[in-house]
Amino acid sequence: MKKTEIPLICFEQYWLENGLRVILYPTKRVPLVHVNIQYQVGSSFEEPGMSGFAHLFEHLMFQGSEHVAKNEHGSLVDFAGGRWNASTSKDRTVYYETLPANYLDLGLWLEADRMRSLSVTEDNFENQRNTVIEEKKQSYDNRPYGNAYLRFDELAYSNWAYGHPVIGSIDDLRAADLEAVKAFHQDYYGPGNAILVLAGDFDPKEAFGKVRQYFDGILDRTNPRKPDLYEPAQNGEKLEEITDPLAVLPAVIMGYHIPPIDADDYFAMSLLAYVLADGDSSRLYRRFVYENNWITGLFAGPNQYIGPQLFRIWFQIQADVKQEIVLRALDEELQKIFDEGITDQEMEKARNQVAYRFIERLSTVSQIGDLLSHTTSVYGDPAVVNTQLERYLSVSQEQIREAARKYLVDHNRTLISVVPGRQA
Amino acid sequence: MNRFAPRPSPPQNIKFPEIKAGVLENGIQVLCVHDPYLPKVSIRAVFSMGRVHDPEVCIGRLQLTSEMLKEGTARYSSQSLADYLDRKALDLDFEVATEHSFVSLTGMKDHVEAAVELLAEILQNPSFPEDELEKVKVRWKGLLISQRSDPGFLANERLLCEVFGNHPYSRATISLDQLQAIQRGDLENGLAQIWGAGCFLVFTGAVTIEDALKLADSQFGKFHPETAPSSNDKPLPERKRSAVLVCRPHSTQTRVAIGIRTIPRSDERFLSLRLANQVFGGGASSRLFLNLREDKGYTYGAYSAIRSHHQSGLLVAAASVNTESAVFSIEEILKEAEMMGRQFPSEEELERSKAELAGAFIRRTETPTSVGSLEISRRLLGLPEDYYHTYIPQLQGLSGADVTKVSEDLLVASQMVIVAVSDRESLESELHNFGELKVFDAEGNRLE
Repeated sequence: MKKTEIPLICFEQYWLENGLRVILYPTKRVPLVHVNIQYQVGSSFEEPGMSGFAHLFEHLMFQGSEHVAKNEHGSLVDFAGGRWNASTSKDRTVYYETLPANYLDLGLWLEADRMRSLSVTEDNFENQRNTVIEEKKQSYDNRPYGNAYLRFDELAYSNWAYGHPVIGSIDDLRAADLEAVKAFHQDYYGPGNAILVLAGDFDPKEAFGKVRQYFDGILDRTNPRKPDLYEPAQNGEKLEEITDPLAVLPAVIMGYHIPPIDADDYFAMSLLAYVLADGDSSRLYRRFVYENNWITGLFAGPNQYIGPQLFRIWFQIQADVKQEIVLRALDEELQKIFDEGITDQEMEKARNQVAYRFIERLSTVSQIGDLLSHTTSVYGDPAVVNTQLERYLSVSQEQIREAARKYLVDHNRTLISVVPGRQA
Repeated sequence: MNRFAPRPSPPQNIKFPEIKAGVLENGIQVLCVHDPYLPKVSIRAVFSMGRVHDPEVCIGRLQLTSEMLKEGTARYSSQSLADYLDRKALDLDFEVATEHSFVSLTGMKDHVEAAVELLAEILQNPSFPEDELEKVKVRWKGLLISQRSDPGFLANERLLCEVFGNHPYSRATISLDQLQAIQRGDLENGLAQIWGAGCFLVFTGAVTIEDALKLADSQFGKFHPETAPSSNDKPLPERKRSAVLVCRPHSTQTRVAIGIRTIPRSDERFLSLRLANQVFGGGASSRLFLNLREDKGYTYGAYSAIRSHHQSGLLVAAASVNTESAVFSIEEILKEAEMMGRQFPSEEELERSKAELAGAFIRRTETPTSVGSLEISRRLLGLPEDYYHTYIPQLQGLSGADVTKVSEDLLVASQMVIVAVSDRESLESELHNFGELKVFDAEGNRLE
């Protein structure tokens, strides 16, 4: 692949006087515009006893504002033929609308209105609390391995900030009150704590004028409290066994602490994931699935958190296979990497794969908008979007081997064995 | 409409991307959606054979055949093929849908020649090694077991059986016995069956029609498969109410799925049905979502969807709900279905639903891959050549009366099948109120 064939993401960047960071990516490819606003707050900002609040708050942002009634936000976007949604992670909360390009004003106005004023009643609050409780059941409690996933971060992280789940606990959700909603909005949901990205078919000068029209008048009253994400080094393997009444096959979830997302070793570990578990020729797939049929599903790779990361490995085991056999083989495969490193062919594969996946993320204006937003919050600079691939491609085989040796060691590992409660 | 909301500027004309076509000497059609924006190309070989075309005695044959295509060819062993694909970052994908299937290779444009060559090799010279077949069966056994822990799968499986009876549209999966019964010879027959229905090739991305035709001709031009189109029209059961409980011990929610047989895509009422579905449960502004989530808080989300086949169709409304509210949720869904046929949708509902469908369509024209998918659907369903050019005007021309009429005809609550996946103790006594109740376990066995 020639480097020049990958489109450069040509963006413009501005700050309003109230602190709002604005990134514009104009393109005439399709008559759509993606409006993406990110508030730099996620579950890691929560205090103990308030777990799940950042995510619950995301739901409340659709319950009405000064000029927009309950549920009208989505309805107005639907009326325009647009698509909308939101998501909360450990580090950030993102809201977006992808609209026909002639509805840019609508997207900006809707986001500005709920940034300026949120209007939530007790009834709406109660309703969304119930909705989130059902979301937790649907996504975790009623799903095989769901609660093991939630437990995993609690066990792996000593620091509660990343250890507790984004979805929160039902007890904490039930205890949340409306007063806290108002305070949370004031502390985190202002222009000084937000990144607005527009991607799509617009004239940048005109679009920036519209951004100013809708957002300039919003005072910044935010007072964000940055969480302490410090994670002490792990000095011993953490093991736990969970019996899951909904699972029919055993599974293993494990993770190794690795450095933050902007560290060189993070890039090395990302490439290692391709060698270990991406594709039918990867080392673990070949040994665990192709040669021995020990497992039915496999994943390996790092998180995308801003702070301390985990390199995760997950596999689901066939009913008649002992977990010890798979774990012993995993140790052997890792030892081979420690001793011999990875081959030239594996390196070529990992580089081609990472380049291809990167290009895949540039397919739509929504993807580019989200990539710019994510890159800005993680690296502090949207321009990294144009250099990130180079950084992956410049990782050497020796770096990968060294990183594997450094991090994929037992005393740095957390492992949960899930025992099925139902007979296969 | 909100009186404060800014009005839109004048809309731009939506132009459906151009799709170029050519034909190889052996009759294989080649389509191309050229878009050089990303250095990426996808090639799909599309066949009008799907799960329903498996013979009764060999259900699962096409799925296993497609899976086995990557387990070796005349030139490659299973492992050397995997090495080659991964080294070049080529994504090999298979899909065996209800009435069609495809095999695709996607990758960087530098590898387009290798991709076409490999696709031809996989499709024309698979070796179906016996030892690989046995391995694949073991792998599939685990997956077939695992899917039975998913409440969504269990609800869909039972709903299809209830709605379509013995018709092949009822096939959601295969049993472990059916898997074991498939032999190597069946795969060869499966491959002949795939080719027998005819094939067309779809190139999308950074490739021109001229290059696509050259590449296709070099790898597929000399191939002359025997064609033997088959019809699979079989009698469909009458539409009638039934209630099913699938017992999934330790469930913390109830998965509710309510469905009814509808119409094939060729039916002239299809677009009206699509619009009615949008009003009913097609999105987060629809009646089901606003009622069950936003008003009642019973669920994280409640939606409906339509599926269309050659001979028939299906509408399903589904939600994962708080078990204490499961019966209320079923009642509300049935009530909403009834209302669809009784009252015209409001002007606002109608216009919003049209805009949602039009907007979703426009977004699907954003990438060459999704444009290729639209064209594949059009061809497989036998829709007119100008279908996508007239789609939005036709949608705009529908009235509230069209929506109500099609709902009255098709969303008949008294004929809907109700499936609940939950703990037995929680719901069994109450579900009797919805009609003759059948109870199954999670393995698909009927319980007394």
